[in-house]
Amino acid sequence: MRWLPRSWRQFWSTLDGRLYHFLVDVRPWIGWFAVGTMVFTFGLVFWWVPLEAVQGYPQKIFYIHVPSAWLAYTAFGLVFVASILYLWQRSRLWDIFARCAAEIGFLFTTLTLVTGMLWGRPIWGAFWTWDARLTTTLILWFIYGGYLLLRAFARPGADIGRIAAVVGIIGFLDVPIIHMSVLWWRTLHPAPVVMILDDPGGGLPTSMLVTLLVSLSSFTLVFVYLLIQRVWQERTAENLDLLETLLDRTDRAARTKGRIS
Amino acid sequence: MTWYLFAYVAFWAALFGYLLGLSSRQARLNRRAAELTGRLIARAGGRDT
Amino acid sequence: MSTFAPALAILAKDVRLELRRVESLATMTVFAGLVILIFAFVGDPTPADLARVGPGALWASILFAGALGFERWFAEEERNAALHGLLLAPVDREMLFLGKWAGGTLFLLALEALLVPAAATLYRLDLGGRWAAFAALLIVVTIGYAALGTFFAAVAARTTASQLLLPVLLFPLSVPLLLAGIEGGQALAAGEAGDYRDWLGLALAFDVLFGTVCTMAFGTVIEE
Repeated sequence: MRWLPRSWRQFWSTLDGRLYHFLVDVRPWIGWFAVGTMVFTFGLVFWWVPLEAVQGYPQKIFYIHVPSAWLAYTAFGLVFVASILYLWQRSRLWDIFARCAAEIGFLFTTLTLVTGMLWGRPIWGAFWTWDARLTTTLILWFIYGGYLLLRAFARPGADIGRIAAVVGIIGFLDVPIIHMSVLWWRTLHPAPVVMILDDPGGGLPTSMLVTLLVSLSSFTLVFVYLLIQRVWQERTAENLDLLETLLDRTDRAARTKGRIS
Repeated sequence: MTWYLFAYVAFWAALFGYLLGLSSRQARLNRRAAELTGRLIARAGGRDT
Repeated sequence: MSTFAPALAILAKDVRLELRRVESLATMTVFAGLVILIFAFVGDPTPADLARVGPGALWASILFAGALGFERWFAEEERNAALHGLLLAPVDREMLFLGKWAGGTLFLLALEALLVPAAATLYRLDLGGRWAAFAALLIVVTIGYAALGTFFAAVAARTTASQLLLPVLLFPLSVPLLLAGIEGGQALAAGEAGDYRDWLGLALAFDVLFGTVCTMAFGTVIEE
């Protein structure tokens, strides 16, 4: 039973080391695979999947809008998990992971909002309606924008990773409550007429479902690649910082020694 | 039709923008790594003589 | 009661400080009044419009003034490194938070005691005599907002732009409370007791959840 970790701490440090290095090693493969599936997805969207009868072309936005939203929410779930792990294990990797996941999640939330607005314009006749889901996504965008700003404005010397982890946890806990309150807020008012739109999940034809699933997986691959790449960059930057301080310090020590002798 | 093309252009612009940022960050990292390696090599040379 | 003695001591200290120099509370009141004034320019001030904008104006003024206050009440501790003294005291971090939280709630309620009658007069808000129910809603929402505000003031204090960052972090997370205040109040005015109770329940659940989480997490944020 040598391979069994002796404690949780050891298990995590093993995961921290081995899994991380494995992912960093296979990173280019994931990247190229993501590019391939992405090309395939767009081939399907442009040439294969039939036009939707009622909406026509604008419905094709569906295939980038839904995966973006899915990745946005997944990313913020990852921030939540990584924040808890960071507060528990205090391993630098989880702090970096949370930051990078928030950054990429913010990117995909922006994409969700932008593609959603460009879809809403031809279908609802307006870029924006104060629908519960739209409003929640906008608030989510603000919460994680604030989270990234908090990290950017960190006072020098403050352990911002620990504080950001707490904010990441509280922000994520708040999202379901925000959604519920916004839902009540809308349903207590008369529903806007523009909201008459088929539920995208129900009764989806097979070809559209296949395209959506392919799109979801290719987006997820892109996300995984971006995340590994960013985490690796941040970690390398920290290692370089460490090397630089070591070099500076020993250089200074060597110089003073030379002066004394 | 135009809205749908708009959405795809916006999507690709954002993704490529992010990738561009990623690669410029990478270039900066590589430059720093090369510089620090140079310092390490110089020091090793100095100690040998 | 002795377990809460440190929290009460901090509360007493904050109240005494605030009573000695009422400037900050006075400035906040004036600021909140100005927000109410500005909201009157939003629509045509016909009585129907006023009644529609009124609750939003009231809660927006509380939200904005609160964000200013929380930042200030926490910055007070940072001056002369008073916070270091508090941290060195053999007191649980939870007690520190409870004391500051209670203080924030109290000051905000004092502000609202002036603000609500003013807004009700200027915007001709009519609750049909259900003032006690409205006061209950006000208190519940204020408790939750003070919990988040006190907590995020401590978070924002760790940055170089705390005045800028506190509203950015605080407002999106306070949306459920804001909606509970506005919608609960309007349900009350319209005599919809069921809706009022739902919103009050939501605000109460918010208080319990974030009161607990913020109390527990305060130590993590505050420590050097």
